[in-house]
Amino acid sequence: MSEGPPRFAFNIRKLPREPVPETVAPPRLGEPKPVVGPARDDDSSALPEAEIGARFSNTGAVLAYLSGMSADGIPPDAVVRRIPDGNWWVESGATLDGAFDLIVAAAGRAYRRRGDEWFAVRPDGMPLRARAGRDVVEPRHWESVDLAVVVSYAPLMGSRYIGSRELNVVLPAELGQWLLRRALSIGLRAWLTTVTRHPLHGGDASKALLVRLESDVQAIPATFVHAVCGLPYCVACGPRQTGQGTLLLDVRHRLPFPARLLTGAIPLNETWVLGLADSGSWRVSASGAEIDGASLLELPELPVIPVPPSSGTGRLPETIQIRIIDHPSSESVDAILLDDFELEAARTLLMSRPIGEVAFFIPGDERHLLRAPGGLGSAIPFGIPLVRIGPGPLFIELGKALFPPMPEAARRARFAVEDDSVVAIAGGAAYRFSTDRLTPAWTLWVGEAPVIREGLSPKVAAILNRVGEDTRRREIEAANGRQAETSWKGRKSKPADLVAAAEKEERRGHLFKAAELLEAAGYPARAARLFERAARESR
Amino acid sequence: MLLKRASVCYERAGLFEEAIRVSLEIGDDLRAAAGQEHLGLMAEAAQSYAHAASKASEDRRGYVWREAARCYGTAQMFEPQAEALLRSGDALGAAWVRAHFAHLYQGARALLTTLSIDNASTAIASEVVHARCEAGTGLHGQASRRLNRVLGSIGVLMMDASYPRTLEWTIAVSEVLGRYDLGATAHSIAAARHLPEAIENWQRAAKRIVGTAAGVPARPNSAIKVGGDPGHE
Repeated sequence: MSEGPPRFAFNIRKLPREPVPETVAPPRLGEPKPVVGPARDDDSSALPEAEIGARFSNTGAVLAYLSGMSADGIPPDAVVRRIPDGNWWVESGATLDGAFDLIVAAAGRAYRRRGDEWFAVRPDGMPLRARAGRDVVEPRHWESVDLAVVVSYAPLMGSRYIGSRELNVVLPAELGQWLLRRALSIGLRAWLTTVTRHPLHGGDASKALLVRLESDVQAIPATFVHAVCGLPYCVACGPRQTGQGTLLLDVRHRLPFPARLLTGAIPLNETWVLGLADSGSWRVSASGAEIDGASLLELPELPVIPVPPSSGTGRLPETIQIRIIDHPSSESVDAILLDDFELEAARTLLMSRPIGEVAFFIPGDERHLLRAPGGLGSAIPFGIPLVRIGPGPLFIELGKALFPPMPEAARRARFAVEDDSVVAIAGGAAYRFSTDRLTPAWTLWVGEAPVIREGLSPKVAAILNRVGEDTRRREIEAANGRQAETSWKGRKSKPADLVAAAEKEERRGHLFKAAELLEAAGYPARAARLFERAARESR
Repeated sequence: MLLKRASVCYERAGLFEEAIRVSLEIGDDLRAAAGQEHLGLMAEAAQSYAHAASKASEDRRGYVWREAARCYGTAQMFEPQAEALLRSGDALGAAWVRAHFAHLYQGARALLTTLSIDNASTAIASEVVHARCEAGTGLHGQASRRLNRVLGSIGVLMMDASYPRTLEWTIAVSEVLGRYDLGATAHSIAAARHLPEAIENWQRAAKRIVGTAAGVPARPNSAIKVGGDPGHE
């Protein structure tokens, strides 16, 4: 072994870059070969390119070094070997000036190659004085390993859930129903895929579910995420990070380097899930099509929705019964459901209340619906108060809610909400009213008008006959003209028509239009309530 | 936009509580303040004005702070009132509120020292506030002498926007000192200068203090000798 520059027995020169032979390119992660067997003795001769080696005590440093070597991701020609003493070895063709500094920064020891042997060098590239064992090594006998193995051993850095609109959970099928119920109860959307998973460091495959949860507006609540993290055999991961493949990382951890450096090295169509030691790190591939979690909802009265066929053998969770639960709220009453007896009482009450002017009523079979554009408030102190939950004219009993909450599209489909009908869910049943029978509430108490007598008495007729025919015609024409003018003006601002139009618009969910009509009709309080509700719903 | 229309409609319907709630939600503090004032919620209105003032443009800020100060005054929250007056640019008014209503004489004096006295009316008004501070801290003799000097020169002062206010303060200080003679002089000056309601105020003060308004002139008398006759209270 030479010592010092004058005694160099070799020249350091840049070797030509050649394609790395197939036998020594472990990061081919697409093949189900997580651990490459011990490198054969003739491996070293096929490694003309690798000239910088590094020894690290842990896989975190290995990954830090690999990711730091190139801004484009982990270099494909790097070879990682496991040293029998528990340390890790990386050799690569990196020739950049900073390579030695990088190794030192990652708490490693740098080596240069000379034949089959590697010599420890200082950060400036000068060789150290050789000592047996550590300073001169022969890595070719060490087992070379797949990048997946390195990643599976790599310590993840502690972090915390910082809020995300997407959560990916890999979990056993048995826990799927729990997760789905919880997720839907807080209004998340869910997609399920049955998957096959292999441990990243090698082992038997198993079946699991990959559930992707998404929130439309705000981040998924931290309490929910923590609950999922606490489930056994579950890995709760943040948003998908895609490069060539997909990386999912436990939501409470982060990688010690940018994720995209790793995603470039993950094989196409493969997903790596990095979790903690107890839940494990997995290589996951889909074995079934992705299905919408909302399609697993079921109403009590309806037949079971057939689960879409899945090519995988992973089991999908059971469908969930929708229940009507108590849900205290302080919303204002939009409509009231009355039975025959209560309708009689409401009639008397409406006669003497201003609400009678704007209320509408739809008769039904034993049950009748009373509503007014802009809400009824506490005008009617009996019957079952209803609030609109939408879409369109779908009402539910005040203080009740569907559990788990159904997405709007599901409500529309399951309750067959249409523009020409009103659906009310109350007392454990649903009632449908046809809007064809919608009538102003005053028809409840206003009876037939007294007979209007028309025509002329003979006496008046005799007087009129005395007036000239022409004069009469002129006067009649003039009077008709005045009348036409008045009736046109009347139609323009007839509040009753505006209220009826507002009722229709509100029923269709066009709250802004309904509010404007009510404002024009002279009901500012009702209009204000609708404006406010329109503002809240448009958020 | 929708909520703004909602609040306008609520106001039209007379539902001010609702209108205020919506206005506050959309950050329209000025509208909320007007509604709160209408309902007599002066402290809330003052706070809304104060919020609005901090967001208002440079040229409107002074006005909004004055509104806040007025509401704080009605709500008898004098320290914030003085603060609002100060922010509106009326340091003299702030000093008076601190001294007369909040009894914070040190604070009032501190404000007076920062005041730039660039005209006679400001100088005289600040003298009145000084007299109020002395009256509050037991220096009645000094306060009386100072007030007497003020009354001697206020009669020849040009009438300006702050004139009625200065006279009003003078009357208030004289009552604190129990020097009703000085108060009567101030009242007579106000009457001679034809200030609105000067005679009525004088009569009310006389009734409150001596139980009768006898001797108080029934109409403004230009013959009253300004700064001289101590009056008839």
